[in-house]
Amino acid sequence: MLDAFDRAREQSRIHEVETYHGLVAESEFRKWLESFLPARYGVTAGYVISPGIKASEKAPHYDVIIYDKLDSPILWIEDQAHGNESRAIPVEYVRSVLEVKSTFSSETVKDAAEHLGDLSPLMAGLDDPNERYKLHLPSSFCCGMVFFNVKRSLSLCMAGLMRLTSCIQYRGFMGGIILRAEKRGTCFRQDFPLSI
Amino acid sequence: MQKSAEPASGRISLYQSKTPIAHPIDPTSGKELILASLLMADSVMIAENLHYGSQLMWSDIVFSQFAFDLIAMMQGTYRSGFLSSFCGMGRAEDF
Repeated sequence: MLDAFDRAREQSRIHEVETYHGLVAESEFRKWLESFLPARYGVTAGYVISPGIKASEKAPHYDVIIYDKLDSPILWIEDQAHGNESRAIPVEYVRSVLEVKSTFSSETVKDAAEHLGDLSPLMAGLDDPNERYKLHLPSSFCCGMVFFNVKRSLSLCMAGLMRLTSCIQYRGFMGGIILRAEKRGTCFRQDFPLSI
Repeated sequence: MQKSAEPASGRISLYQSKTPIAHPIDPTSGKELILASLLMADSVMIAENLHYGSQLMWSDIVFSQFAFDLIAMMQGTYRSGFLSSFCGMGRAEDF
């Protein structure tokens, strides 16, 4: 995962807007999840669709949606760049939403938190198990964040953590993971503590 | 500090406290920290006697922990303070 990310980051340096490595990060993380999770879970980028949200409202796009592959219909499929697909999943079959970011920082945590916040109307209630037309995310729903890198700076880490506390308001928020701390492309425990 | 070549990941999680926690680690101290692999941000009061904050723990086992916690949460079996699985918690030579 990290090797593919590093290669993409090198390639994206010549791009006018460096977004390619972010797309690769999302794609690689989805691939890893797909290979790791039990077979009943599907992993896709895409949309969470609820009949409780007006059709006139724009549906936010999420980097990683984990859904019940055995039971869920796919409402539609969109082709994306680099051979990726986005799928639209009915809300009751969504098990988790993860936001993937290249770098952990105050700004990226804020962006990820705001994006997860777009799910707030779908987290606001719980549907009765016997409800035929479900409007909300299921009770076991969880959400979190994945970061590929963090710059080796204690103050940057602290700023990101302070932002992250606001996510306590989200149902099933499980925190997240930073895959590595960056120091010339590697991270080893003996480098701790972090320097400012 | 003992040298190690184990790559580490950082697990971000929320902590809960009955009392406020402020400046648990002083980022300006510049000294070796006893809890070098754990960073805690100041807590925020949610209600009386209920404060939340976020923390970041660096270790070579937290990636596995995150992965199995994710499965446990989706399956509704997650329990805070308990390992969701022993898989990935140690190396083969530990057994």
